[in-house]
Amino acid sequence: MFAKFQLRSILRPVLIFLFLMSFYQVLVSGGVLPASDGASLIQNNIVKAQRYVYEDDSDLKMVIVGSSLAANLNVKQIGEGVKSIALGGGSSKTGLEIIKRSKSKPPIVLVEMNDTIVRQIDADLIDSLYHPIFYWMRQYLPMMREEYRPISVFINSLKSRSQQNQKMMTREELDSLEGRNLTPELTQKAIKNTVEINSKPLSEKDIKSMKQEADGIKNQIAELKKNTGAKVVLFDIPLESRVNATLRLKQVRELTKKLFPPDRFEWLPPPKEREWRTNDGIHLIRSDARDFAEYLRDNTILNLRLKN
Amino acid sequence: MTQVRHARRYPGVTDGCAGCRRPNVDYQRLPASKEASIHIAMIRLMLRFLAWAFLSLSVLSNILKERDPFSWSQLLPLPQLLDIVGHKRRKRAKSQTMLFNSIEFLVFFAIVFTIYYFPPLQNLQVPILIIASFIFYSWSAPALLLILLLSIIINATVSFQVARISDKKQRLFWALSGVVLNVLILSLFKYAGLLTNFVADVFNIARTEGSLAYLFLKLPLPLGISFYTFEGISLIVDVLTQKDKSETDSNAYVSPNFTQHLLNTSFFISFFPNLLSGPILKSKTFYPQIAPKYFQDIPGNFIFRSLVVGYFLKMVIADNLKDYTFWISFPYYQGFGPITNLTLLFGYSIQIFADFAGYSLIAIGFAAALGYKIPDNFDFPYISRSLSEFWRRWHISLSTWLRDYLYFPLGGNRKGKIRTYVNLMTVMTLGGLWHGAAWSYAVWGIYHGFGLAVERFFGFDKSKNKSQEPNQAKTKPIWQQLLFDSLSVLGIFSFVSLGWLLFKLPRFEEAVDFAVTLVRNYKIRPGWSQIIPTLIFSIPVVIYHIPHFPTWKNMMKQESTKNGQKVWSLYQDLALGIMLAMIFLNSGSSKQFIYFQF
Repeated sequence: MFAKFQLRSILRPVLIFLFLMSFYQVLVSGGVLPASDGASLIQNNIVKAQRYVYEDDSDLKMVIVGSSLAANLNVKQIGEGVKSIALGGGSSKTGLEIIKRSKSKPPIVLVEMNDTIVRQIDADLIDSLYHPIFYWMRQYLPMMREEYRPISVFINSLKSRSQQNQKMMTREELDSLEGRNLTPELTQKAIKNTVEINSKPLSEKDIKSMKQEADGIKNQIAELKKNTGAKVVLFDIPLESRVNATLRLKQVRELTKKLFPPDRFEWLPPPKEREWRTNDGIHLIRSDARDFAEYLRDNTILNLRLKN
Repeated sequence: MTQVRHARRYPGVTDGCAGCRRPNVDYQRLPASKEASIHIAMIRLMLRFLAWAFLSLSVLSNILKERDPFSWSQLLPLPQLLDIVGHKRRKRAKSQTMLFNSIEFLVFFAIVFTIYYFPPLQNLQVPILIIASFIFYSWSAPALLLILLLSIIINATVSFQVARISDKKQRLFWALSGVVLNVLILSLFKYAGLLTNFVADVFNIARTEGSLAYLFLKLPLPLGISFYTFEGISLIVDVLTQKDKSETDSNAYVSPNFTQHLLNTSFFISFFPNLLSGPILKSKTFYPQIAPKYFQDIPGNFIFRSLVVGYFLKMVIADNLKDYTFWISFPYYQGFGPITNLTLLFGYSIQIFADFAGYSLIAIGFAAALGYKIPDNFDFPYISRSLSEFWRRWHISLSTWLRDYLYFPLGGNRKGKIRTYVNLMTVMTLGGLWHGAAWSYAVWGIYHGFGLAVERFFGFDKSKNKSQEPNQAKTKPIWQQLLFDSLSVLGIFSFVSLGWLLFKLPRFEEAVDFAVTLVRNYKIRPGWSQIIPTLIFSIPVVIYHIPHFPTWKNMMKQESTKNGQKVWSLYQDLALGIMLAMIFLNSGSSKQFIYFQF
């Protein structure tokens, strides 16, 4: 009963499926389809991570790991051969773990500290990246990679038609883009919320957790240095001055400096004092993010090489 | 042919039902000595279970040593056990449950399937599936298997007693005790936290470590408890109803042998395809299916279609949409304008459907592969033109359960108008609370109950009754009907989507703030990077519903030809092929099913 009739009724959709898969693989392999950066935050994280894992690393000069604060920076503005595995909603630890488990070994690793060091490794992302079956499939069938998701490719093509190249925009043009999504009142409200949240002092539990997580990062850094000889540089992304002055963040900075003392860990010197503008107290607006990316360009690759 | 095969497999048992191959056992009243021995066997079994459970708890408690020496919790090992299966388990269970869309599950199913249909083991099919179900259930939290086992033992014992006792009062007593026990277990694990918080707030009781309140708050939420508890209640009520009707000693679902009945009940309650998120099975439809299954009887086409559509809805639609609907969580929605927020809310409506309907279809597909038909859970709910129609199409297994075991026993619509409205509100409020231990779920239920009552008051539910479709089509011009139906569908979809807001934002102040934000942020432009993907991932669900839209169906019927059917079949296969490709190429990142939390 099952055999002939049932199989015949399944055969046509299966053949259509096989045809579509083969056709798509040809489009991807032939370079007809442009890769996308992902249509959502989560996709964007996965795309970054997979690109780091699978792409050619011959020109790799520096890798940035961190959270959404660092993910806000456009690596193209920092320089050639710079990659970012800073993950929105993620942590530096996840980025360090990806570097540790991948073949690409960068000479310089920039590690964002701020107060996101308490975040744990994104185990789901790491597991999916290095799942033995899927890792192999993505290696040999690029169409299975996140950047070639058909819907994301389509959405990205719509986006790229409507968006100008932000690299070429003036500060005023970039700032005008911010207003599209946020009103000044909303920004102020968000900053006020962030200030309120961070005005409470660190609890004993917080301190304990920070110390624990810091131990994890220290181990990852030590392992990275030992296995690859990479130079690991820690840095903080500037925040809104009102947020920066909150009690909790002051305590976090002090504790971080204690846990990662400058005599044992290399810290990037902070940029000159100025007012940094943000959307919500912590995420730099586009033009200021570009300024900070340029600061990184001027103070990392060249300087760190000279020091070496 | 079937009877010959059956006779070969079951010597001594006559085959009274060739179609379903269910052995027709001759039920005779058992002699008193036999009855007594069954009682003893049951008591022994229960004592063994309790001893084993206590031993397990004691061993676990000895492993744990970090406790206040003067805490009452020292007297019982339960709090320590809860520590390891409680909060930590809630987190672990989410990430380590054997999900239908995981490689572990596919490997697990392949192994079970092979053993299940292996000819020499064909007589052991039920025990094989019970063991498989226990492994499946205990994958994330082995300790919680104890609660499932407790539920099985209670329901098997009570239903067995109800089927055997001839005195009506005693029978009712047993049945009531069974239902109460089921409700107590569900309440303890699901609602103790909610009630404790409520009582503690009202009477200002401390929730410090070691206190009773703390213990209740730390109770774990076993996966699927809402589903299997309702199945247990359905068994007891069905056995009681059947017994009351026939007043004979025989019972369609209860074997005269307690061990056999325990085995069947274990199978019914723990059947792994629907164990974690339904559809909720009813004993009257499941027990008659318990019989040997044969590989050659597998409905391959049905399984293929169920699985492809199910996985597509879950992995491509729901898992991708959740990356965008995430933005209507607190406080992110505050940064978006009204058009974006409303689109995301409607997207969430599509996501919740795709997630749950996808899960149900996958469950139906895997159950069919094992030879069991489990009921449909969704009948294209978003084409409903009235709220009562929506509830006939949405989570059908729950709504029919509530109708059969709660609404009808309360009197349904037979006791006057006021009583009908009260019954509707009661049933919908409890139905809301079934979804989760938060008052917002109760409010969601009241919201729907109120909607149903209003609809009933104005007679809207009758005017859109399914049975009236053809007449309506005849009396009104087709364009008028189409317009009228489309507006009704849009209205009901909007009403239902607004209700889902309480699922996404379970805190009232957040839900209210969301509504305020819709007005406050009128200046903010639409966020196309959220709106476009949400629309793109919602479109397939809309297309999925359209062929079942009554007016469309009527139009198609009028124009259907043999050639048209061929083209339709080609479209279907093309859609299946595309869906299958999209499962491989465009699956989202989430692995969790929304309804697991219920």
